[in-house]
Amino acid sequence: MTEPLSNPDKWVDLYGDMLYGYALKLVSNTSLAHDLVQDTFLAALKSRKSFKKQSHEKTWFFGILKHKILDHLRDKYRQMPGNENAGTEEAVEAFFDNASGMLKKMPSAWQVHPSELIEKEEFWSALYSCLDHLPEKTRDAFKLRELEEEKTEDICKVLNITATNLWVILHRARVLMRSCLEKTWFKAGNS
Amino acid sequence: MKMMKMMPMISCREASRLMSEKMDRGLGLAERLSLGLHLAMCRGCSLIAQQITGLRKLLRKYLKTVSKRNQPQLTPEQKDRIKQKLKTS
Repeated sequence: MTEPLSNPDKWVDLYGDMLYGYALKLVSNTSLAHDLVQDTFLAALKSRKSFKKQSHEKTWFFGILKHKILDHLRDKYRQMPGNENAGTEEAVEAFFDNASGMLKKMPSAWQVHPSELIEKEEFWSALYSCLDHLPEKTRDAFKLRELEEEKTEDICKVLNITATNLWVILHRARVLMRSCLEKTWFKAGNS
Repeated sequence: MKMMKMMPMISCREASRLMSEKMDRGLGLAERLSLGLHLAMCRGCSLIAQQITGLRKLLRKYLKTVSKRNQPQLTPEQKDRIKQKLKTS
């Protein structure tokens, strides 16, 4: 079952909001998200002859958008090459006893099954404000890996860092995001 | 007991690093064993491991979800401008 590409006049109404929402989750900046969506449509128009009828056009647009997002990050980190060493190490170390390396405090059990949280807007604003506390490169690494499911090799290339550094910063990001959400969401009595 | 000697219990600090790296690369046999042993014996770390993998699942699902209620939208003006650009390019 194959269908030709729809008329470009219809693209914005069909996919504009969907692509915009997706971009916004990854770049957290409305005007940048808008520009990325616009660039996606323009690139699609240019290369519409290469559209393969085997794929659904929605998938095709999302593929282009994903490239645009990675290009944007690649450009950004071309200006800021090198491993991230910004001060998250102490914050992570603080969870462990100095001498024994054991957890200082028992984490609290989360009451809510995560899947119930998908449509909960307040949860996502809590999560994004936790993300804001991470250094920029760590934050982008976390988003690319945990949201976008990007391969680690590709993330290293885009962020201009080594694999070892990526493992280190993703570890710190996960530890800090977990504890931030515990504090600001799960313990705050939300459910 | 012999096993315990060969495989000394790792600290929570070490387990934390390994449970995270497991999400990004294949762990070696010794790493898998010592992490598994630690998680089996440490309730705190096993909770944390569940929470960070649960969070990943949630985030990945979230990215793919188009919300029925809270979907961010381009303004009509923004849409018109993009349409205009598509027409003229």
